[in-house]
Amino acid sequence: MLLQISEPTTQQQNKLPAIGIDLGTTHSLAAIIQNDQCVTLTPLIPSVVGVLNEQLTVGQAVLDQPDTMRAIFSVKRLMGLSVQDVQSQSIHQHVLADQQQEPSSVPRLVLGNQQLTAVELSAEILREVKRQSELKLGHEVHQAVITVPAYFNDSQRQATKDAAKLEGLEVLRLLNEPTAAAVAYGLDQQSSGIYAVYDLGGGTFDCSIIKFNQGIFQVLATSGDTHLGGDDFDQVIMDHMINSKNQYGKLDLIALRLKARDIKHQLSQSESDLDGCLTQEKFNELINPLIDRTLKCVQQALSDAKLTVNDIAGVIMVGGSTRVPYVIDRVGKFFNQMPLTNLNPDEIVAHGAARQAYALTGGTSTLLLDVVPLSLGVELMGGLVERIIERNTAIPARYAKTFTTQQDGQSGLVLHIVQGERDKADDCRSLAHFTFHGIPPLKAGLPKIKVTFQIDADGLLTVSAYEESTQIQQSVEVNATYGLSVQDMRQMLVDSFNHAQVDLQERRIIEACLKGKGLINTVITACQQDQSLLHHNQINEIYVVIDQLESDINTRKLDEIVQGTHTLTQLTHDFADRRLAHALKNLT
Amino acid sequence: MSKANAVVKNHFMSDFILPSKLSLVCQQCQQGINDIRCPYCHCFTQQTNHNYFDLFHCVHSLDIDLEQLQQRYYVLQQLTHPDQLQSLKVSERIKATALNQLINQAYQVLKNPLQRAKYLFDYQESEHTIADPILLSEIMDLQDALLESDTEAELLLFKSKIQCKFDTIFNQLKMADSIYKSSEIIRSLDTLNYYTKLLTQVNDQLEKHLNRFDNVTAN
Repeated sequence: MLLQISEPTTQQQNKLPAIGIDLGTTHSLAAIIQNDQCVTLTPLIPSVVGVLNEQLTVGQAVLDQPDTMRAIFSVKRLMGLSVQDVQSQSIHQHVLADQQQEPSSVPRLVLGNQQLTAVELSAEILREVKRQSELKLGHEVHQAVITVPAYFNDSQRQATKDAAKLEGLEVLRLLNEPTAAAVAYGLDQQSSGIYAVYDLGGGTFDCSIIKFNQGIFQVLATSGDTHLGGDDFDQVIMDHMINSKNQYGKLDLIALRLKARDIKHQLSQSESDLDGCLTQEKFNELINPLIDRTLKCVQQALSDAKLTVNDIAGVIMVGGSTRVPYVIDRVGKFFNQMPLTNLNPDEIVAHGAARQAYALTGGTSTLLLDVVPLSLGVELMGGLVERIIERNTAIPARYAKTFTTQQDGQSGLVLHIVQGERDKADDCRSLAHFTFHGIPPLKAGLPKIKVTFQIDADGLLTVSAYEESTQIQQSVEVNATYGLSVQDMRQMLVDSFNHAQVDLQERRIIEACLKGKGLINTVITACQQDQSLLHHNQINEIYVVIDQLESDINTRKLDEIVQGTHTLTQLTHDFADRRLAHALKNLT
Repeated sequence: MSKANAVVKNHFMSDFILPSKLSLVCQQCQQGINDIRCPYCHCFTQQTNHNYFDLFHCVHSLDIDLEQLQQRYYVLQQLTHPDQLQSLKVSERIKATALNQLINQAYQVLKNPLQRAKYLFDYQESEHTIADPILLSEIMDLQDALLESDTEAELLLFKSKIQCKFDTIFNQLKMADSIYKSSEIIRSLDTLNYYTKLLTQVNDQLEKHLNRFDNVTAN
């Protein structure tokens, strides 16, 4: 009642605003647009999942605990990968649940007494981001734009979307990270021209060439490496420490990794680290081959866009790893110009995601025209790939090719859908197998089967096949081989119901906090506006209850918050009546 | 559109080339319209087999204004991109997405000279093999020349030579597309097609060179 009188404008909105989430390899972050300004909703939350007091926990708390073995880092690097892929990676080898797992199955990782997939771990991180955002915003969050590396393939994108689905978030758009950065930069600076985005994050590298023109952001080309980032800088430092046999060589792997990261941060500020175990000069030498790899991607993107470095108006640096002075130095030399480093490389992607979330919910008319990063095709007889959609094709896209049979009377066709730039199917990423049945028994070469590839604005693929004479149409949503099968997904949803008991308690606390906070805000505003209607003793009484309620909210005591909210409502009931009468009197 | 027709049509067009537009009938309100979205009832057309040149308001010619092409591309994107249409009915959004896919495909074709030429003259690569003896002997010579180019500098020189040849033939075709006979057009397109394939080969070679160079420095 109090709410209705005091602030007639703040009615319950049907549509809650959507947020932008940067789901990063090392850090995650959320942001939102409020009054045309970008507001960061969370601190940088370390993307680490661990077990604390027998509970899955995300963020700084995990890093602060002494037992670092019970934590999983850089989950993003595992998205959409198979057991086989993971075994070849040094960072995650040790956490694989069972080395005997089927090489092509979805890898499960050991954490405490649980076995979790990368998708479930990412869902945990998203849950923490969502929880903190809701606390800051004071209302629930249902929709989000989530960023992914531009060079993520279909499986990795699908896995990211699955993680959000597990957490009950509707993904308005999977947005490519360099594109997000360009949007944030372009809108803030009101610039136009062709820009290069150099995005070196914790685990992935992307380079995109983007044209800004009249509120339209057109991606001309993109290139990258999903396994190249700050983690690899840490790795070369670790290798150096092990090889040089200093005091750190004896640390366990994770502690050594954290130490290496620490040294890297120190070297980004000064010539040598505090312990003098590595100089900046030596560090530069160690990371030189890694930077060479990034610049090769940049060159690739430029050639694909049919441009040279002289066409580039500016270079936008994104990702924490672009704080390393030698990276800035090399990129500057490559482009013959100083890169733009006046932006916060950790926040810009989340800001771009928030901008896009705002645009998609009807806030602005900014338009993004993005491309597919890797070519898509089918395997032909003999193992070669026939490309149907070339890389850097603008999306949404729809392309078709006609195929035929190899043998007389052949009634079915197996379509092996692959993604990648190599000519042999074995060297590309396998996305799905799809069998087309019901070809009429004709001579080889006569049936015409039209295979259509469609990519939506998230960069996700759907394949359909059509046989002309029988008019049979079959289609498949490419649920990537290394993503999740429908069954896996169902199992996870069942599991999440089992976890629901814990979640329910958590949800009650959040709801109570939100309700309490809302009431406090309303009462305070009302008191300020209509102070004259109250005796100062009554005001003091109200403030005592508010103080108590606030401290209960901060300590998250459910029963006390509910009680306090109730007391405050009772206490202000009379005041609300008087305000109503007062307001009516003023009206007449 | 058959090959012969394309040529005849260009004969007629040569005197008064005007940008063409779409000519459609709105399925919803039956009004005659000249764009993919009806200005009266705001419905998108269901048709997705539009001529690319008409869709982009271009003259049916090789010689098109690339700046205007891009401007029209942006206009069409603003009109049909799924992000712009979140508030529309699902049926309208489906029609718009199909149109948007067509627009992307058409833009890809029109902005690339060789693809534009192939589309304009309805050239089907798989339908015929190269038979012209002069072109065949040129192909042999160029293949030999490519094999002999070992260093990066030689490859780059070779590349610019081919690019130059391509531009010459393309410009001839552009100037004379209305007076060429159908066989002459096909011959030019065969040649341009071959040059493009050769350029891809050269680029592959150049990439290998760069990789080899990297390995040397890494060791």
